Amino acid sequence: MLTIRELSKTYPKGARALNNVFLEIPTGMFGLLGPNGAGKSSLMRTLATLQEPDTGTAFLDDIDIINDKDTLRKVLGYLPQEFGVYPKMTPVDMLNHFAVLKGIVDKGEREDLIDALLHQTNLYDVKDKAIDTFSGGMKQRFGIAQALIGNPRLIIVDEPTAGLDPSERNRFHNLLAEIGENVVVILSTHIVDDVSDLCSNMAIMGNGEILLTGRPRDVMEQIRGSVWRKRIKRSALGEYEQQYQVILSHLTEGETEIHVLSDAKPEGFDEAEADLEDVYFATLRNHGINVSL
Amino acid sequence: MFEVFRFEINYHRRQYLFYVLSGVFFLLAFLATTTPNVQMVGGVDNVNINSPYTVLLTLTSLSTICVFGAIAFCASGVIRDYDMNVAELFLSSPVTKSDYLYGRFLGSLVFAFGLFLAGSLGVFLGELMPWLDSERIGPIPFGAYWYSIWAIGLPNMFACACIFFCVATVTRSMMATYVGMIVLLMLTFLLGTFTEKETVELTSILDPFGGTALGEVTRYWTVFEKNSMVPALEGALLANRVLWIVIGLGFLALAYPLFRFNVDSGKKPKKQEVQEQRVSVETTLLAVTVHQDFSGRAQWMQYLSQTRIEVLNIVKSVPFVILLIVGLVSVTANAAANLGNIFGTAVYPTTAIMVNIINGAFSLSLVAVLIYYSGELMVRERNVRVSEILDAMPHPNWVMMAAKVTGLVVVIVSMLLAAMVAGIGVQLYKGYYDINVGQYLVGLLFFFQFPLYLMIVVSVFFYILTRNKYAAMALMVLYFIYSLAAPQMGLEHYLYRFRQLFPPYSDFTGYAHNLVPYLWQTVYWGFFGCLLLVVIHLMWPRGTEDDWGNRLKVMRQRMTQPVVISIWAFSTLFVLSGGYIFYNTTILNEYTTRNERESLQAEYEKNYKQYENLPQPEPADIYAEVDIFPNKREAVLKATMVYRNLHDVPLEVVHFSVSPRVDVERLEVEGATLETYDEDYAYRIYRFDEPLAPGAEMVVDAEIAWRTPGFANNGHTVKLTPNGTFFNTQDMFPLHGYQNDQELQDNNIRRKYGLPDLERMAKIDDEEQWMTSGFNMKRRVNFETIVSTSADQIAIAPGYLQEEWTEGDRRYFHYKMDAPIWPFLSFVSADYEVKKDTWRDQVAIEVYYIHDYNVDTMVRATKDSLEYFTENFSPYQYRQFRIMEFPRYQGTFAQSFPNTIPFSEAIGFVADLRDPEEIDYVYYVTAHELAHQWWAHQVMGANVQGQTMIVESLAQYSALMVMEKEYGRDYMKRFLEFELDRYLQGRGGELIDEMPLYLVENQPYIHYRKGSVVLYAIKDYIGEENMNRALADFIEAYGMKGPPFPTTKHLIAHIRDHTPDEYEDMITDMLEKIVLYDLRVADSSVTETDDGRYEVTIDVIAHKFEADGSGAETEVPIATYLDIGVLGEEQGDAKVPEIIYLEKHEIKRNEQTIKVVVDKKPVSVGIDPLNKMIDRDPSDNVSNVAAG
Repeated sequence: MLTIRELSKTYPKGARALNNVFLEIPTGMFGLLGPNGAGKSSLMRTLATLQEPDTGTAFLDDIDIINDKDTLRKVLGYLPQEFGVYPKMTPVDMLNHFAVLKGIVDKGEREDLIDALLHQTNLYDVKDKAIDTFSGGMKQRFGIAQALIGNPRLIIVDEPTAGLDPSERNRFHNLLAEIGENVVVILSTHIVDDVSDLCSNMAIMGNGEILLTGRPRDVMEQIRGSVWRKRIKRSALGEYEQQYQVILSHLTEGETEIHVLSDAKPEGFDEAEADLEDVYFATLRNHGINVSL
Repeated sequence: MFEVFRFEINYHRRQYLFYVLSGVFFLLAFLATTTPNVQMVGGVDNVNINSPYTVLLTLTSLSTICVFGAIAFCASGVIRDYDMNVAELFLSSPVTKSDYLYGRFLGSLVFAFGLFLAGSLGVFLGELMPWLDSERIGPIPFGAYWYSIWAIGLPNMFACACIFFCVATVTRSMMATYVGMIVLLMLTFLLGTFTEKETVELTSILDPFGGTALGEVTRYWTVFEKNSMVPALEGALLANRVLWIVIGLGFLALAYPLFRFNVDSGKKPKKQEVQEQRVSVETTLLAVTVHQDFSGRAQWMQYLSQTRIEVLNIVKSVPFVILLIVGLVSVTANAAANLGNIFGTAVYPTTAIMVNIINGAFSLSLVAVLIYYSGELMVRERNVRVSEILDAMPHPNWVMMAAKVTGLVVVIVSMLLAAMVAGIGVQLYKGYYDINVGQYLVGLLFFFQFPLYLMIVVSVFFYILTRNKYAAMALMVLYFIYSLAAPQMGLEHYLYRFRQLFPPYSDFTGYAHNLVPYLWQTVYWGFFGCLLLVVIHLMWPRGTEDDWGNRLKVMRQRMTQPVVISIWAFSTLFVLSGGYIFYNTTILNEYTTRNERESLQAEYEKNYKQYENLPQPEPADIYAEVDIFPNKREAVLKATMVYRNLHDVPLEVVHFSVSPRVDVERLEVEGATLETYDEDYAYRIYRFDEPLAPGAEMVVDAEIAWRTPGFANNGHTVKLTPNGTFFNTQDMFPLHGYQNDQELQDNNIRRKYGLPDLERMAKIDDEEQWMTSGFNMKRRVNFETIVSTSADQIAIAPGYLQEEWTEGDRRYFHYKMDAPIWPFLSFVSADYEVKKDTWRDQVAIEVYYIHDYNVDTMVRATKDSLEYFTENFSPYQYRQFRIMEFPRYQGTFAQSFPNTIPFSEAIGFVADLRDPEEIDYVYYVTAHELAHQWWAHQVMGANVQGQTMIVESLAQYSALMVMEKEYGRDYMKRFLEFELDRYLQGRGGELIDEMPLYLVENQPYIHYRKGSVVLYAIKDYIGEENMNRALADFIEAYGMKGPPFPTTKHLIAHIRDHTPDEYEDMITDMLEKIVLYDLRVADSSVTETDDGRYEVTIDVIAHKFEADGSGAETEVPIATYLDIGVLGEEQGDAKVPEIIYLEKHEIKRNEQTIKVVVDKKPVSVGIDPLNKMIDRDPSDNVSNVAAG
């Protein structure tokens, strides 16, 4: 169980990244959903011991993340939003180095582990190729491989699927799905499908605050019946926005379909099958966070 | 193109970089001009601060320095476009490739020029400053500025800009461009190491910045010329300028075809994405069980693993390989070309010498690697974006920090090991097999390296402090400037200034006693480095935040108990070792700065110069007991000396001073009491109870100790060592009267202290001074001494060994002279091998040595010299002749004491004479020193102008004659070429006035170099026999006599007695004036006569000039006898042309035609073909003859 209390952070230039964040994250996959600039990465980096909060505490069971970084790092697996590796190094070299840094001193154990990780992430065939020649998906899989070294109890995965094509993303999801249930895995993303596909628990973040927490199924349940859809002309979007609470619009077969939030069925609208995306945008809307449609 | 050009201009105009850099260069140039603390060029102290020559040299080196700034503009243009991804915009706009390329180039060129001009302005304004020494300000040399800018500065900037631009454009890599710059600078540096005349002709054309060519053109410039003109743009200088402009244009042209005008970033052209086969293997995640360990051993492994990565990252990179190769090439080239040669003769490549060469030639590469990679290593994780992963890994902070520092150390160490291998290669190649790997390791990895280790830590610290690799580099530059400039600002103490560790090394002692202060310094600064490392550890960036607030917060978190303890421990050890150094340098010994020493000298002169001519009694008998304690580095003198009043007036007082380094335990003057004792200058005045009557004697008893407690800031004397002690009278004996050799010698400094210009010597006609010899004494003395040393060493002093005995661990030697000698006494002690021989069973020859390479040559030279001198001058006054080797750090000279010659390890004992074509200077030096037994010990000149001609020039002449007999005339020509070259160069370094030879005021370039050339020429004119008879007469008249002592006027009178009338003028020109010739063959032809002989017609051009003391020349009518020669085919191993005809002809006109008839077919003809005259361009004296 990861327990976060009163976590706040304001950057020197005045940007408020975290605002009194409370979160309790059980073991299993936890999705942290939010738009860019919501504070997800700040929270992730704080939990990954890379950043100091102004106030607040964070504990992984009994490990004080803020003040006892060294202990946390021993049980931490972290895949940053963007990362690279030393030039010209192969996955084997690099994983070996990371394994040493993670305290796996036995050479045989290290070799077995690297073998298993490379198979697991399907990188075994390219184990002797330089990582900086990898495609985006391969690189992300390498990233997860290094995060898995050394039986971590907390795995933080920051925006892992950004920029991946659908099949790569799917592969990556499969990989994440195999991580054991008794590990806390935090997946931060702005892609709703990541959460709906993988996570048993989730939170929505915006403006540095936690706007919503719960199980995906539960939160969807809450707005069931109050989301309505309609196909409109693109030029009419402005009018609808003034009249209704438009939570999202997307193109279907060349036409614009909008979803609006309303307790009663508005004129000319059909009921929409509320999904996590609606929850997400509705939540942001409710907190006055403007996500351009 | 104009659009692109304007874009570039506007871009830089808006950037602060140009303003900052121009400011820096302006300031640097201004300070270099206005303060002695910052120096851009050396060797211009004797000319005007704003002389054309100084302006030229300053702007030339400015253009070299400006390259560091120019590179930023030349390289950044193109690279910037790619870095900032604006290339696409540019490349899609309707600009052609050449517009883009050359518009960019012109834009950056403007700024490169701008930097140089800003620096030039700094020099110009600097020279107008009112506080400069007005004695050394001439008219503003506008012409020199103009010349230096368009002929030197701008072409340099242009060529460099072209090269950098091309490299940057083609590689699109900043680093590659920097490497290009460093290669260019190293090429310059490397070419600059070739200074001999033969190679310099080529290197002056190749040198990228034209410095060598300028140096070559101005090689023989006198002060007058340096103050009044700039060189003509012709010959090698012109060729050099044109060559580099062409090279520049070549690179510029090359940029066009090689530049890829597209947006492919170019940085990773060959990179292909790996295609994976889709294999799906089902495994359960983390089926492997592993154990984590965070013990010390695990941390050690983390450290090793990270270090391995750091090292591989550097050594696999191209710049490193290039810098390493360039460094190794320069080591090898230096070792091969420049092995400490004297007269072009190499020395044995001993390991000590190789270590010095590596230290010199390699340091640029090492510092470049260090500064560049220390910045690079610090930002690498962030640049490749692996830092977030690494920072979240469970390794302690020290692992990363230690790995970086170790990585750099390992890289530097391996570079030095490579250099060591190269050095050993050179040794083996030269057939030298006594290779001392241990000394390489200590000399390179410890002494040379230690400052680099510290520099690594400092530069990492600067990075940690600034978090910006450029700012850190800038701070490193400041650090360098501080370490260079601090001593000039009076900050000399090694407690706050880290010095290069170069303890003197000699085969006598190894590093031995010199090691202690260096080790303490190492310890002290080592702790400082450790302390810095702890601070670095506290501030080590980890994580993604990096503002000061966060840093302080993190620092507090990291202040764990072990950290606090180590801070305390290192601070304490730092302070304690500093305290120990302070105790040694400042309490046990006196710490003085150069300024303090100068002002002490000035005060001494101000206070006591009034006594300079005060009559003083002089020693008549000296009995000295000298105890040398090699291991303690101490010597104790107990002297009983009889002083006599040699004046015809009674003396009231006697003044004594001693070297500032010794302690007077007792100094008693019979019948006199101490009246004044000035502790600052150790100056004592004793007043006689009863005035000392003329001819009366009294006894002086002295006990003087020379101690070396602990260690001193600037090191203790090098004269006392555990093996190889060598000191003389001046070092330990009480000296009577005012000592004018303590006066400040540099007039620039004298003016600072309000002292009048130095009078180097008394005027030749000052007859009162004729009563004192060049030894500053009137009479020779009786001498007897007992010298003791440790049991394993031999102690030597002038005199014949009477007895030798050992008492306990002390060995005693009793020496006594059987006739009076000049009290110019040497005391030497070392663990010697001895070689004994005799000459004609009359003179015992002994060589005391530790290197046996050239001992036989010395013995041979001694025998040959004794033969020649006794036959031609006078008998040898002693029954023995001894040579003693002494350690190289005591000096590079040999010195002639009565029958006793200490001879430096560095100038003869390790000369490599295996090649018979090399000049045998061991032979020459031995003959020269032996000649001093005549010229100094038999005849000493009066203490007036010209005195050193009698001593040194005659010794040169004598040695030359012995050499000529042994090696032949051809060999002499080569030797004299060196002497002429050194003389002509020496004139340019004259600080006051060049004197004619007969008035020489202790000016080595005159009494040695010119002395050799003109006395050899006079011998050629008047004949060897006449010359030697003149010298023999001179000895006859003055040998072993005096006062009064002879002057050069007396010497010249004797020479004239044996000079044929037609050459009287020649004697005047050579000895009494400064005369230079310009002799050339303009044209020549040959026709075969009917009787099968050859008639040769030679058109010669001959000009004669007289120079004044500053070097200003006036042409005078020529009316003199000069050699006209007809030469045949080259013959023999030495490839010297056969001399078919060589006669003196009277030359009366500037252009004259001479006809001679010879028997053999001529190949070339010449006027003064053997270069006996002083001619600044001796090479055009001979030319091939055209068949008529």
